Amino acid sequence: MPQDVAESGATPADDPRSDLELVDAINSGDPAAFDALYLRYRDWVLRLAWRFTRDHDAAGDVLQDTFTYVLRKFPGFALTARFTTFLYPVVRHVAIANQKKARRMILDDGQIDQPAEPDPPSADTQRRQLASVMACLSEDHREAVLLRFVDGFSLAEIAEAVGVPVGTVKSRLHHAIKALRDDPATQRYFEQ
Amino acid sequence: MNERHEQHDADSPDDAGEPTLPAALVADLTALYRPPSTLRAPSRVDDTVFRAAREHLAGVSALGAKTPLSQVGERLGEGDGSSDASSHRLHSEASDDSTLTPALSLSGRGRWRWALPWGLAAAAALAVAATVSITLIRTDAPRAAADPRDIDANGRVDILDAFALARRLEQPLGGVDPARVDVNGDGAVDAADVDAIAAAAVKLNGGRG
Repeated sequence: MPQDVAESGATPADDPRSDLELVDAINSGDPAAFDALYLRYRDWVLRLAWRFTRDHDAAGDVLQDTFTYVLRKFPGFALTARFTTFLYPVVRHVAIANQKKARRMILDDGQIDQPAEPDPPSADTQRRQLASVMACLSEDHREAVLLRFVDGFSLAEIAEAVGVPVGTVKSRLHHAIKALRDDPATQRYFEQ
Repeated sequence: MNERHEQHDADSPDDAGEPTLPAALVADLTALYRPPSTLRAPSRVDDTVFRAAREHLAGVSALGAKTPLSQVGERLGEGDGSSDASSHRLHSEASDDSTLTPALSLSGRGRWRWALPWGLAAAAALAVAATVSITLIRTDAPRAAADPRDIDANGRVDILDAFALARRLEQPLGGVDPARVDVNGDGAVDAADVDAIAAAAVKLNGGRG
């Protein structure tokens, strides 16, 4: 924690300014405003980075590289969308770049070739099967599902975050949902 | 699945509604992709980011951010020097930057935009500075041991000295010693002195390419 913050007793996380106001302050050279923006979105970025890397240390590296990238956008930075909408492609690109550099492999938790379960599966088994089906989706389709249903992005926000038209987002979601509905391992979700 | 197929599908009537998932499926997805509860941002990352912010933004402050440049631009009649022209859409730049890596894509076009009004200012003042220099040489005016144009006293006369003087001129009391920084010798410390330093900086740097 920076010394000036420690002396004041207030933490940047408590900063009442909006994201837009913080961006304006950073453009004027205010490092405390950047601290506030960082702490406001640090955990969100870290969780997203973990999803891409499945590795604690790698997620920390992505967090650092993401905000290093953001920092160098200042001065002259204009916030025209939700900050998370801006951060998402940055985190994704940084995670992929870091993985390429480290030649890491992302391993999904589930096994793709799960044997059919004659009896209703337990919650853990059902989730493993869901993970398997999700792993079989294309990266674009899986990303759309996670952004919409796990992160709560709107269709328009997904479109902005991944740089495609809203119609394409809807199409990806429909194809992903159809795959989940058609797969025997996950179709029971739709029958409940 | 290619984009053409996706776009075609998106235009079909079947895709008009908002896609939904059963609540149980959403719950399991959330559980599957939820990070472990032990996930914490490493303190080394916090320290690195805080330190980097101070170093980077100190540079922003030292350059006077946007205001001093625009004010100087107005003084010199070079237009308003507004930073609006250098602002760019945050999202589109991030989304379109397919080669995005911290090491390669952070140089920033905006970093050099500050130089444009100063370059124009320096060019406009070059003739004035040349005249002053010739006059000083011909009259054999005594030169101070330290160059009066070296505002930041770092042993060099460069564009940062012009920035420094411009910044000091904006302070309520001027923040300057007239005897020291009246570099053009006209008895006043004003924008003309800033212009003279800028011109000298361009002249000095010009030979270095």
